[in-house]
Amino acid sequence: MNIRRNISATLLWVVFLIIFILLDLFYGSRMSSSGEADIAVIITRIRLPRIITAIIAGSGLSLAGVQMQSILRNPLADPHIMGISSGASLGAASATLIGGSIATGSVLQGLPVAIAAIAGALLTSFIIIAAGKRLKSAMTLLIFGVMLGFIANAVITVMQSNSNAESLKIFHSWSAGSFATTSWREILILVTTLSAAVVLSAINHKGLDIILFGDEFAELASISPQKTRFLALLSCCLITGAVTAFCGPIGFVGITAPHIARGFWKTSAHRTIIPASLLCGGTIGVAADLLSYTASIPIPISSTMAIAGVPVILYILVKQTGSEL
Amino acid sequence: MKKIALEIRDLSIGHKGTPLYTDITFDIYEGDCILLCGANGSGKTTLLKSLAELKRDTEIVMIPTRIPKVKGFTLKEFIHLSCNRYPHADPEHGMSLLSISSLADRDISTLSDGEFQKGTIAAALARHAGIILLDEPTAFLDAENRRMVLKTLREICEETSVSVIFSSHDLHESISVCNKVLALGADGIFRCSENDLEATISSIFTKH
Repeated sequence: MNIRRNISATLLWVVFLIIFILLDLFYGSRMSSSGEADIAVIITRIRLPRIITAIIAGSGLSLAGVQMQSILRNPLADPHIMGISSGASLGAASATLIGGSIATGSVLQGLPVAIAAIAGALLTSFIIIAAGKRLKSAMTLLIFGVMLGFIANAVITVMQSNSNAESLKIFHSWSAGSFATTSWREILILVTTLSAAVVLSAINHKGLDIILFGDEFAELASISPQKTRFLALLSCCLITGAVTAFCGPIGFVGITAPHIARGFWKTSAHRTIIPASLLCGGTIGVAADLLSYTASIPIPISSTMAIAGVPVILYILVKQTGSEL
Repeated sequence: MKKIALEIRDLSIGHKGTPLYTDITFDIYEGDCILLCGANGSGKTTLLKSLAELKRDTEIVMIPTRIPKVKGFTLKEFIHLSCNRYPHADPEHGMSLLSISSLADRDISTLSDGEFQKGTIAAALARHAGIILLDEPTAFLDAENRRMVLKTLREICEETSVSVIFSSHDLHESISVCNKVLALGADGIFRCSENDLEATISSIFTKH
């Protein structure tokens, strides 16, 4: 019964993913003015890398979301709302805006920005873990994360106000969120970090199951809650940092995809929910990309995600009212 | 003649170097059902945790209070998780001892609090625990579920060689299933009694 449900849910979402990929590849508003030869170039040079980025970003942020929801035992946690994306943005912005005067061309390219973003994400998450030792309520910790995000964004604004027009322009388009600006080199970095993050979560999947039942239960089951949290956050920060560095701060997919996965696969066991969230998140990533490119006006990815994701989150909030959230 | 499962001699418990109770001495026999009582903050959980950390031949399992009923796990999966590091554990055996095998494939969020509490006890039995320590197993339960859990504890002690120590504030309901009481007295003295349970319990109340 379980196996049949898993197979049908997986098939359904694989079909969704393929449909969105095909639509995104071949149905685009910017197709008309180009000649026949150009279409092949557009598809392989522009759309293919963009779609691959969308899949990696969507699935990566969902992987981060599912792990954060478990270690914080909060259904609304994800790297964006907990301020980790903002920390990553601060790292990326520091590398871009401060280093921008030295480097030439698109400074948002390459490894240094990704490393700075991962470092920013790690810094934020360690502050959250430290605060989590004192703030026992999941909601208070969530608000703490939101506040942390505000501080990071305030610092970014200060940096923006003191940078030159060129850096500012790059930074502005990046902070709106886009899958379109990535090069193959950056995709390689994204694939590597996503693989590392997936491996970390796979090693940790039993611990993530167990920690859902509380730290004392974790000790009963002879696992270390600290080690589980550390591995999960490392995995989150790696992928959140890399995605934020190259695609901008993107929210809401990380919250929604795990809930969709739990709904369709009818389980919370991470053995199933981690791959399911990767699949749903990747599909949402491509769908968001498709939406932002087929609309009559171009919509930044962060706006698409917010418009589509916030209703889902509000639904979760309404459903959870009265329970222990 | 009942066999001794654990002898505690001159144990001290405390927080951050400040002792709460010293000279804690008592014996646990096989099949003992023991109530641990004391005011809030008197050290009940600390004492249970200290006992759980003792390295003994008998497996000592402590069940924490208020484990959340996380949606998306069946009872069987939950018991398997709690036996994670115990290759010799037998979840089926644990469930059949408490006759909850029929609940094995139910999602734990659909179980009553009492049924889930029985599930946590089954998890301890699955690990072939000799002594089960329960921190407030009846807190937050309604009357019916409270009676069910207490009955389960008594049955374990009567029908197997497992010993149970549990803390509770539901004193009078609890002593009806117990044969021994441990009291963390308001006067700072630890007491253990098999004969005069009521009098021992009253030592936890501050004298006015």
